[in-house]
Amino acid sequence: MSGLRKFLCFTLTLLALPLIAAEEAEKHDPLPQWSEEDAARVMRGECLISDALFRLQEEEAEPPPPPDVLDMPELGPESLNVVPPTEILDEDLAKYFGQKPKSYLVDPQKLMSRQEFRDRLSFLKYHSSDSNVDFYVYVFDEQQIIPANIQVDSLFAQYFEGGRPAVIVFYYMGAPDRSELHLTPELMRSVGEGERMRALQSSINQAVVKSQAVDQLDGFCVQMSIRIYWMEKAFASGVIAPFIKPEKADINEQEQAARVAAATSWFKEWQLPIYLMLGVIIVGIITGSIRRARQKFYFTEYEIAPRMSGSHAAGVGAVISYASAKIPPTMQREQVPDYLRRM
Amino acid sequence: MKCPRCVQKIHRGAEACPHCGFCLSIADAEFGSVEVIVRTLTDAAGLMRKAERSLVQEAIERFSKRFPQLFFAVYTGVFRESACLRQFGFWLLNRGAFEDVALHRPNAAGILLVMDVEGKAAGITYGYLLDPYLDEDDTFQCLSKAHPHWLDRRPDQGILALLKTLEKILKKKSRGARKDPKSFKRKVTPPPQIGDLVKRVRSGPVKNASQKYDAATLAVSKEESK
Repeated sequence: MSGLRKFLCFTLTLLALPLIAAEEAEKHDPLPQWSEEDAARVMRGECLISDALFRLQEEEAEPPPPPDVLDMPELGPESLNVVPPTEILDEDLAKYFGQKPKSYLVDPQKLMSRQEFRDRLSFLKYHSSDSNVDFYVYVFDEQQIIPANIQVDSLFAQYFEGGRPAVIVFYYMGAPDRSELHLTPELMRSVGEGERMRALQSSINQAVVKSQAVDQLDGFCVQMSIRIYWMEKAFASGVIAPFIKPEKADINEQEQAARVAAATSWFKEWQLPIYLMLGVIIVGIITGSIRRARQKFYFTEYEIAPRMSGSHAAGVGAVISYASAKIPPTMQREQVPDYLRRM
Repeated sequence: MKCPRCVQKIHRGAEACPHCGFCLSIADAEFGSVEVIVRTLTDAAGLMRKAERSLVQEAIERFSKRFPQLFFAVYTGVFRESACLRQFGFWLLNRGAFEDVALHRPNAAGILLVMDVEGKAAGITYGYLLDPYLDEDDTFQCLSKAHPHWLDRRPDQGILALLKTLEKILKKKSRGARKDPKSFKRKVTPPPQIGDLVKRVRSGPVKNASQKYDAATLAVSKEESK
């Protein structure tokens, strides 16, 4: 029974195939029709069948539309307006100095990646949690210049008034030697200028040994954090840092001037003998070197009985092979009799 | 003093090697018995470039100025299997006429460096004048200084290094010979004949060190004659 069913299905499928093919053909392009004129040309050999077919297709194919010319905006002088590397945009300046910093790391220009920013900020947060002196870092680009009209110290005095003492560093990425150190007024009174300079310089020194800009900032911050510890101690003790006394500098200068004067007078007194001695030494060295260069060496000639009938020479020296770079010269010294080796 | 062929020690004044019988006539049979005209720098193998040759030539001239009795010569060649460096050096220093060497510098005052380009080997031969002043170890010292340069295919630099070391050694030997000439003379003086020694012994008692040496030599000679 099942065999009969299979047979019927197969037969029906065979019968349906031409109908399906006709439907498919209707969907596609019609086959080319031969005109009598073409057939005559083919018979005469004036054209090839393939040519006719392809030409037909070419005729049917529509030429591609010409590419549209894009309406590009003309470059005006305003499009070439690039911010110079020394300039900070007004909007960024507002973010830097418009209010008290909300974060210990201030980078409105996004000079660091998000991860780098987070890492540095976590260090600064840790420092502030561990210390009584806060540590703020304002990050600028390498060549940027803060406009002169911004009164940084007065702004910070205003922002940090009544709060915790703070150290604010302006750090220029890639140029740690341009860093600037600002202290809140109460801390400024406790920490002397010398200490501030030393702190800044030692932090710069730690930064410049690194090659990457971000690593430099790391080194700078770590060292500054250490120095802040000493500032904190000075602040806690309430000792007001002594000013560098100008008298001391004057004394040093006077001493130095006296020493220079003494040395000058001594030199003037012994000038001639010193010059003479130097001249003699130089002439001696030059003469000696010339003499050594021109020195000739002689040998006593002895009467020597000829050997092996050689009238002039029979002195056999060493023989060395330089075939291998792996073996030392002593191993390549040839002591083998020639008649065993080559002859 | 060694034989150029069998590298065995030979005594002073030996007509031929007592071990292998080598002498100049055998070398003549190998290389030719007529004199050959060569220069102090004969680059027969074409080992060096023109600039390198001039560099070496300048160094050779400097050497000649520093040591007015001596001359240094270089020969580069391909020696295949028919000859060897020692024998060739021995033959060339006896049969060669160095045309750019002054007549007052005989071949006996020559130091010859022979380089085998194919076999990659180099050897030094020297004349009778240098017998008391140079030995195999000295020459090896010079060659070992040149060795790294030759391995590096810089023959000119190797020769310059060799010459520098050779100059140092010869300067030292020259100063030493001026201070203590006897020690150098002793190296080349032929062994005294028994008859002469007997005469000296009869002439008087031993007074100084040199006479003591002669007496000791006499004793050894007597034992040998027995």
